[in-house]
Amino acid sequence: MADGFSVEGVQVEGFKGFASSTYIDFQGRHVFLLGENGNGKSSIVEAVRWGLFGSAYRPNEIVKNQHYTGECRVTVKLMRDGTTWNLSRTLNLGTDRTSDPVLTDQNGKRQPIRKILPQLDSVDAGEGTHIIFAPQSAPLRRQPEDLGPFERTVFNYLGLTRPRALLSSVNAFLEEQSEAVHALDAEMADARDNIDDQIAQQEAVRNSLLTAAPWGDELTPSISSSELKVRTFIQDINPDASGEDSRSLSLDSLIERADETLSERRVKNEGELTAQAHDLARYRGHLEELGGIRSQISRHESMISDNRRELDDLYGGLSLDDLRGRLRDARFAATTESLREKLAQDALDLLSRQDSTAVACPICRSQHERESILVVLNDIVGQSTSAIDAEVSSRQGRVNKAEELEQQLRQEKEQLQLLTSDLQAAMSLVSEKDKDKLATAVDIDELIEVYTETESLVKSQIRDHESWHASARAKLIRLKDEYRFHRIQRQLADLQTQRTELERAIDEYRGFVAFGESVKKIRDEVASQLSEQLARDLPRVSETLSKAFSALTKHPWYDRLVLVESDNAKLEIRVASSKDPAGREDPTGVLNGQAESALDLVPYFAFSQADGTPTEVYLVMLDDPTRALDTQHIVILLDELKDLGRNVQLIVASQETERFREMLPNVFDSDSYVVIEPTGWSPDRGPELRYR
Amino acid sequence: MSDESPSRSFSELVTQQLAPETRELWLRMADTFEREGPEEVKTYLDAQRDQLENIIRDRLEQFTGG
Repeated sequence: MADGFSVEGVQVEGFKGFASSTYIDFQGRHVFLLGENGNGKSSIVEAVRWGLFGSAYRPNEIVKNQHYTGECRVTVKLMRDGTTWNLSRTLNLGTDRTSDPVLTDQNGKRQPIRKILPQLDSVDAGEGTHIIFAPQSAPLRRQPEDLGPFERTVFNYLGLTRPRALLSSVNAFLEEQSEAVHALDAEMADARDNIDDQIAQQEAVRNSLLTAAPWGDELTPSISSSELKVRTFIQDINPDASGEDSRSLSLDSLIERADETLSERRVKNEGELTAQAHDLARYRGHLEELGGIRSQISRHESMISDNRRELDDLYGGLSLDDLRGRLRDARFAATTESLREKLAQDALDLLSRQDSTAVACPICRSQHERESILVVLNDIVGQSTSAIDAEVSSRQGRVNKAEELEQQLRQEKEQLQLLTSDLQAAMSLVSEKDKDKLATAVDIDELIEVYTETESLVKSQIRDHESWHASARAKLIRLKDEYRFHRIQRQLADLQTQRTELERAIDEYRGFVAFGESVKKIRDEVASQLSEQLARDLPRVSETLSKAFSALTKHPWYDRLVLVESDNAKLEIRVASSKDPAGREDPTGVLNGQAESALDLVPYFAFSQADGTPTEVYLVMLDDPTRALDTQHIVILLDELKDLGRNVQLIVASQETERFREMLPNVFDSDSYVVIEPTGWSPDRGPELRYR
Repeated sequence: MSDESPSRSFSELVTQQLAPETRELWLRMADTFEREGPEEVKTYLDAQRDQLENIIRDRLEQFTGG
């Protein structure tokens, strides 16, 4: 295989912190990017990463510079065998992540990336803060999501990334398969229960119908037989209906037609008869009213006649005024007699006070014998007035009676007048024929009797029809039950078909479950093979890692790393000591911060040195590897980087500007590296780059 | 160094260990794995499952009216 490419430099345009087109010249050497955070070190590291891999450290990171109106493009200038190639990547318009890479050779001719850089084409640079692109034994693919950067690097090194990703994919499938099986299982059970419930319900209804079969003792009718019954029924209840109309109808339509026909006939016949009976009753009512008026008129006329006769008897050829005059005369005579008696009494009183035998008459003043005057006066006083009083009383009674009769006569006449008006109104409602009859001396009661009989006849017809209708309705109900029976039979047949279909679905479901079981067996075998290979390779890997770990940390006790496999081909890292080979500890909690930082770097040092044959781009990029490291460990790191840099081009970013400036000349040959210090970053210009 | 040989040898190891009734499915998975990558194996299995599931669901719809 040909030598790998080195990175000569990178042209950045509209990418992250770079607001304008800038070329960063690596001079094909190791690159140390030094300076404070926020000035563009990471933008340069990310530019190389994105230019090579098309992805940023953070998957959803927006790489386009928001202040730059031009395209977002990174061109990585690559050098191999003294020739310069360009890998240029441009962010697709309207997207935040997708991009198109173009590789051109030293002649500017476009070359297929898949052929020239197959590893680069397949890798997704998602290995954490530090990325490595060094000789690996397998093409790198998108890493399984359930592994940490350390594990991913180990699997890459062992060439087990793809089998591990396969196991992860199959496990993810099996989880979903399990959920799908549970969901389908529940749906199957629901469907089966639903159909079985419906069958049970329909059978219960059918059995209930059969306890009193609507067709009686006959054999269970066929559908065509039931259809014929309904057609006959329709013909019976409506002889005018054409049999042709119903010939093409199904049983349910026929039942509906029969129901409608029966209802229509009831409305028509009973409606007409009821209306007729109602009219008759009303007319008879008029006649009865007319008869009543006529009776009243007759009675009043009779009363008037009686009154008149009584008055005539009372008057005796006189008038009421004559009777009143005779009453006045009688009253006057009674008054005169009363005064005369009073005068005689007064005269007697006067005479009783005189003693002489001859006294002067108090009226005529002549001398009269006392005794004779007394006789006359006593005679006057002693005369009875009862006859006169009786006469007055008799005459008063006749007058009162006459006045009363006159009053009654007037009232009777008025009443008679009103009744006559009523009679005329009532007569206007009587038919001409009946008027003629009444005019020819037919008694109204006879007429009423005729109409009463007619009305009774109509009511009888109504009852007959109601009885007929009830009978027809009962027959229709039996036909409906018969239809219901056929419908239930049909539904039961449908449900049985559904049940058969469901059994097929259940068979297919069993195949579905078996498919999952097969995948599970395959998963188990994949996991088994993976475990076997890990069991075979992990001791060797642990040894390689231990060397790098020991060199980077110089830890006084923990000088060994041990990888062990846990469930589902996941790796766990343990620290140990050669002084106590049996003891293994979780690094978290037993290592200090510097040792833990160094632990993160271990795989890159271990595996990059593992194979001295460079392939494609032989590059290790470390972004801020010195965080949490003290001076002593930075020295150790630089020593290790020096060794690593013999075979690999390094791109290292660090904030430790002063210490790197001081130490780099002591570790690296001055012509083997370039120091670039991004500084003075501003949104519109990006960083200034100082080369040292 | 071959790109595909490690995956292929891994597939062959698995093939040797599998019973005949699961081997056919595995060979199709392995072919997808080697040609298109491990993620596509899930895509392949998903498609197989969806196909089976859809047939069952189509039948079930007759009963549920869904």
